[in-house]
Amino acid sequence: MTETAVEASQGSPAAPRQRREWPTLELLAFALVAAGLLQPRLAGLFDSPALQTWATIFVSISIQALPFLVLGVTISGLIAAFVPPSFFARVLPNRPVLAVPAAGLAGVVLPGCECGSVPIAGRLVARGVAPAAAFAFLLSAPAINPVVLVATAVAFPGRPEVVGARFLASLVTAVLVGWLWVAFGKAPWITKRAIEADPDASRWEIFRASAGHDFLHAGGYLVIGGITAATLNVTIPESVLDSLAGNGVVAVLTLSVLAVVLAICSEADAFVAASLSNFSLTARLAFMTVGPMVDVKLIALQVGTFGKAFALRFAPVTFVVAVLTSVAVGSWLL
Amino acid sequence: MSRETQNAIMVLVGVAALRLGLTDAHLRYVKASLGPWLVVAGVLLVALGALGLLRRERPGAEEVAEHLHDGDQVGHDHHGPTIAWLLVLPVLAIFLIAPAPLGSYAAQRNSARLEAPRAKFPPLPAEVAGAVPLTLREFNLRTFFDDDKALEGKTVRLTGFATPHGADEVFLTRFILSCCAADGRPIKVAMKGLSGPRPSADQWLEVEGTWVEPEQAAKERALIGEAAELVVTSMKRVPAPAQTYE
Repeated sequence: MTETAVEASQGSPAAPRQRREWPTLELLAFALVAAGLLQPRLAGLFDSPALQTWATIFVSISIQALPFLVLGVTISGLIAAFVPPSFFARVLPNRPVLAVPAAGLAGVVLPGCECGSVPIAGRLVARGVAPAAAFAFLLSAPAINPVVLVATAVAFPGRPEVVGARFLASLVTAVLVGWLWVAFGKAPWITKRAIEADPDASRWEIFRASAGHDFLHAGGYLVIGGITAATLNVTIPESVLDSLAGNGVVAVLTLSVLAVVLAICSEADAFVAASLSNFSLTARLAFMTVGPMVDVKLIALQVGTFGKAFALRFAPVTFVVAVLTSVAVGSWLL
Repeated sequence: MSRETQNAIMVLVGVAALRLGLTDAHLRYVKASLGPWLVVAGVLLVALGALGLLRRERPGAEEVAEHLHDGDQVGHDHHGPTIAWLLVLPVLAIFLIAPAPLGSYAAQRNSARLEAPRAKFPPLPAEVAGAVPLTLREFNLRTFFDDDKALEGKTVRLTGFATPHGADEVFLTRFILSCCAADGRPIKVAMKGLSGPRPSADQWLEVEGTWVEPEQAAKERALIGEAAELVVTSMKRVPAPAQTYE
């Protein structure tokens, strides 16, 4: 976004820093033309059924996530442009210990899946919301909103206890991880922050610049996640799962890892969980609790939004808390 | 990455979303219900990108941009996010490779696991031209879980693609999606009594045949994707439907 600033300063004799510009627009145009000319060869490369299947799954993960990502960056941009930091200071409890459960519950209102909640959480941190509270929102929103809960009820007809267990396990995990951050988290782990625009700029210009920047940033990392998930999807045969379904602990761990690897949208994961019917309900609850909070696509998005040092600590801790909470809630309710 | 390039990439991604959302092409990758949302996302992205491109022409725009600062603390190169280049990849895949819907290769790798429905089955649909048209999913569910055996003595008509299995078997196959192709699970019906050459992989077929009552052991394996069986009485090759998923 500071590109124009650099260009503008080059015109003046007192330019503080001159740097060589890559002609990126020309590069982009050249790459597109070259790809267009090479189309038959490119398509030929993907003739093999394995690569074709990989490409199908890569495109479908990217495409499926796109509307939710656009929703997320739109909300993020609107917050940047229209919601002053003082608003959050007013509505959220001052003490992070109390702000965490409040923000976790606020996740109920975001109708979407996990790709949308990452840029919003990034924006909340930039607007001065306590990081722990923003993370509780980040974790709970994709799992406890009405769209996902209704999808869960449809996938498990006649079993409202599954919906209740999912809500409870997800909310408890989000709050526990938020509190862990309050107790042990260190601000320097967050090495990236969302851009904050000058308040003097016009509202809509702030919206456009923030939403655009967030989209490009998160979108790039989403593509990394899509590539990873597609690769794992076509290389790990699911038939190996069946041998692991019988043993209680192994079954829970298997489906928890599967949730990380498959990176299925939280609006669809209940249907996949329902279809894994040879696994225990607790194992399937773990699948639905871990999936919206930790998966290869989300880890990539978190690296992009908060930095690597953050994601490498946050994702494993969340995974462990989510698995333990699922087992506790599952053995109580299911 | 320059400002123009960032905006150009947003326009590109938006155009790709519009192209998928406005045609049947999105049916290869996601559920039909996501189509309108792809259009909305596409319109927003094209608008954001186009406004960003136009913005530079207007006097005063530079000052606004100058005040935006990126909060990266370390190692930021004061350019747009380099990572955004990756967004070109799905766009290229959509326009140049146009990956096909999931087919027999993916179908050989796993199976849909069915769960017994809680409610009783409704009456079978009416016969059309001498056979009951059913989805593969419903045929499999009724095969394993319908205690009333409504399929007994009926001729059914199923449409799916061929997935070779083992040395001489072939499954009639159809994927079911919950959300997108990444969660696609193949429903399979084993075709018995075929004569003539085996249909080639991924060939779409309209098949009529009669139900085979499964053994108890097969019923137990329904949970891990056992295929129902059909004794084929007629089979014809048909073009692939626009919606290949169930």
